[in-house]
Amino acid sequence: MKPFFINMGLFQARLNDYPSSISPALNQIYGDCQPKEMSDFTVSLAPGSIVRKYLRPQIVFESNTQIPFKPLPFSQAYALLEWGLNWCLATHDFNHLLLHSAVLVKNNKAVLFPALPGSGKSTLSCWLAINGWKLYSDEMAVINTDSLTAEPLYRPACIKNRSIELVRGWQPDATITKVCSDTAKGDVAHAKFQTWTEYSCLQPVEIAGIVFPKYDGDLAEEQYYTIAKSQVFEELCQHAFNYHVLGYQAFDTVWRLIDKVKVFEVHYSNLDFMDEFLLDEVVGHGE
Amino acid sequence: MATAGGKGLYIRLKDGISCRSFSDMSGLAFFSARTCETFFVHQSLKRAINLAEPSNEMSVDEFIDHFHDGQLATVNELEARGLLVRV
Repeated sequence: MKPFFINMGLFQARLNDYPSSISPALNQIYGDCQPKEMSDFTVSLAPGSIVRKYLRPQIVFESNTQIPFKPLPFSQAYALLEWGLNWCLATHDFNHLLLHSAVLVKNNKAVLFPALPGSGKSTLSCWLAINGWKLYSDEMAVINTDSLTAEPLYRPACIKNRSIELVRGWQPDATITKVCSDTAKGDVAHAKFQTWTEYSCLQPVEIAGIVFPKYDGDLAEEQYYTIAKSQVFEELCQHAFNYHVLGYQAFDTVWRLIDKVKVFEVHYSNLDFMDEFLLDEVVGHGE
Repeated sequence: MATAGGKGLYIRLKDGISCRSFSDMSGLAFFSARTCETFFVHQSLKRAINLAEPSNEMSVDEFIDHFHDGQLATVNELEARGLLVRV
């Protein structure tokens, strides 16, 4: 089989083996990217074993002879590939600070959303991406440790369960992969909000704020608070994938970042409120 | 008083330890280059603590006075964790 080159912008993976069933999703998400000459990672998706090829088939993600995850049902192959790519970046990029966080950009300023699962981070990211913001990353903030700028990644957003239908409703022609059902995270699909051409125009941008979003559908009125920077520091250290590898450099980078940006916790039920709040309090309304 | 006696009148960062305070005076963060561990003191400060260099020294009283609700227990805990030494 011909390898498929997944150009994520800063990095490229060469996908050597994969089941033909994921070809539609691969082409939907990465079909328009321009391959680079050199790949940073070599990955493959292969059947778990000969027996598992026929009996309740399974799929295994492999990267440069390493198998970081247990086999998953064959139907979850594409989701496993995306999670495997996350693993490749998180365990191999030591030139940037990597935070578990979404990154959205407007008016040439970035907002980080480092949030726990279930906080509505990905749904919020998708809604903002549909409503005029640039999605630099849904899962991983890639931060330049010198300039403290956020770098864009050409990766889709991972949407789950009820969010899949919400995103379809917000943008009926959105590029969304086939749903992988019954994964550890429930039903999962991947959505893309920009073309390779649009992505190619993106530049690293200054980070203006860090917002911890908490969705609460029963909330009568939106609330937001500033948070003590020492507490945000502790949170971000826990959200950094490569903190222990970068050591002092990560400590210093997180401190410099937090000390210069605005930090908020926002409890919301209304997505329009979030857009207004971010423009008013974090990135400004532009020129 | 916490600083009665000659020995232990002053404190400084242990070698390999970095200390940062925040612009909102919300606390301190310490980092150990040896163990790669980070430790936090979430206590509001009156002013930034200047212990940026391991060789910088500060009296125990002065250190405690930086905190609004400063206590000797903070110094003792930081010392027990191997972040500060009494000189």
